[in-house]
Amino acid sequence: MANFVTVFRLAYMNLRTQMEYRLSFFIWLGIKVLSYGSEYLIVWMVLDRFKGIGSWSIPEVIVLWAILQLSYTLAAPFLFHSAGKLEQHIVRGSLDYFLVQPIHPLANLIARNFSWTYSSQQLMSAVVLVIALNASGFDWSLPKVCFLLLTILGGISFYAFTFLFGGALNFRMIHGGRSIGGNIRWLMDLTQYPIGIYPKQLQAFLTFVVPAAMINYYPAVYLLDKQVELFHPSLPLISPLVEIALGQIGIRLFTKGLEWYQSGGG
Amino acid sequence: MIEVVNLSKTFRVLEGKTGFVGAVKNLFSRDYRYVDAVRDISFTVKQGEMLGLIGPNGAGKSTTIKMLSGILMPTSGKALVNGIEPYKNRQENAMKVSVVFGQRTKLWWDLPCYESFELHRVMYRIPEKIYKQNLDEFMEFLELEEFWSRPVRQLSLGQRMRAEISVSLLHNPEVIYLDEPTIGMDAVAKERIRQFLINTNKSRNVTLIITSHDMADIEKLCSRVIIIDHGQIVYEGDFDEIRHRYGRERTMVVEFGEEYPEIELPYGTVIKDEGLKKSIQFLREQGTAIDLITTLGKKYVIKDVSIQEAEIESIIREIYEHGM
Repeated sequence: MANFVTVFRLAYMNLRTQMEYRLSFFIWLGIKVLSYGSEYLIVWMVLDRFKGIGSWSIPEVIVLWAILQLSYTLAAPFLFHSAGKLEQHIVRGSLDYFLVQPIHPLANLIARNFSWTYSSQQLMSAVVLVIALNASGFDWSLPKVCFLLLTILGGISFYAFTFLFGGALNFRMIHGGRSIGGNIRWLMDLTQYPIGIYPKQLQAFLTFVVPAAMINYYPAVYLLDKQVELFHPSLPLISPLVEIALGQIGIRLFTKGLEWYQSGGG
Repeated sequence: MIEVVNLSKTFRVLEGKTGFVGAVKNLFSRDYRYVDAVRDISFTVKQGEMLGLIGPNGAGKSTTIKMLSGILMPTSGKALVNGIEPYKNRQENAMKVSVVFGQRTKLWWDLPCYESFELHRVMYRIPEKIYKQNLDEFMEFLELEEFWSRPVRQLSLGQRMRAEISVSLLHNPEVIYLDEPTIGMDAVAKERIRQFLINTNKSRNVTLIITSHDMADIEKLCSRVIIIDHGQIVYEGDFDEIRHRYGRERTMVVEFGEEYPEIELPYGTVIKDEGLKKSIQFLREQGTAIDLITTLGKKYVIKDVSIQEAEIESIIREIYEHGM
């Protein structure tokens, strides 16, 4: 409990710091609304030209896309700035103070670098998701709503894993972990469409090697009762759990990585 | 009570090849070198002791402090601080110790000073009564009031260190590690910090482990010193004793009232001649500084005098040359 209070305090101080530079804060907020707004618009315009993709209707494809976006915008405020800062801390050896404070270094790092400028995108993604689900004839029953929430949590965990994995690599390699962990846009570009349209090998890659399709595709198969060919019928239901487990593995890796931390010259 | 047993730390360092071709080669094949920063050191520190860790740059002082405070994982050996291994139980250890790095800050750069104190109170779950009691004491002694609501980025180095040390003591730590606490400060600010540390040590029986390049820090604060060089302990004991046994070379800087092209010395040699100001080096066994200045005063007009004691580097060199 005391740790939660500390985390909130850190996040509050971080917000105050960001607001010290008020203009910069609002410019960032504005830029993010613009860039995400235009992205939604482009997807809408492109999909409008087609009747759908494979056996997926336009609203169903937007469900896939909105799950991806919502979990990303929920994970990004915690992870995006933290990843950059972590690399700096490791390079400069300034992670020292995090290791002599009575709170997990990861919680410390994330709370200090929490970004408050994603709120507009979170709201936009959530609204788009609800509209797209309704348009796809989603059944708002309790089990399905719970599964939807679990799916979002799974998505957040997957992004968290990429960040934590990159962080753990940073401890070993000093530079570069961030680029491995942070550059997941290419994965998002691939999984924003139903992966059923891709060759089998690519489908297998996105399922078993880098399970990015488990963020949205497989859960959506269950959520929207899609009848599609799968590697295994259990994949839709276990996907969020696999992603959540990945998040846990990420935390383990990061904690292990701390042992490699070399600090800076003194 | 701190117990250090056969503690070692080895770093893996990339052996960079030089030039552009070397940089390209580095991309494909990497040679690592292993550097033993700390080699098999053992010592103990009693509760309430003030211990100085001294040594030249890169000797392993900071690495030792970082292992003791839990930041770095030792390669081998063990450190026990009040019964726990700090690097294995970081959070538990953090509640009982404090670390101050002279070149870094734990204060929030862009926020008023008091915000960092408030954060510390929450983070260390300090009871309101103890927090207030400590704060009042630090406010009075270190005069924090004058910059209390100013953003940390606007504080002078001395003010920042006053705040830094105060915040580090808020949770009544049993051990404080200070890594170069007075670096870059002016004489007045240094003295104030030293006095505060001495008072704190006495009134709270807190253990202090200090590394510093400034021999005056060590001389004024520490009853016992450990000299580390190349990752090993080369001396452990009383500070006065090394001064006595090894600080043989002393330098007296004399500012004369008139120009003297040549001066006659009873002992020692002029090692630096800047016109009116001359630096005279002599050995302890040749005679005292008082005798030297009295003799000179009889023949020449003297405006000012100061004495420089041997630097840590030269003491270590002497220990090597003459053995313990």
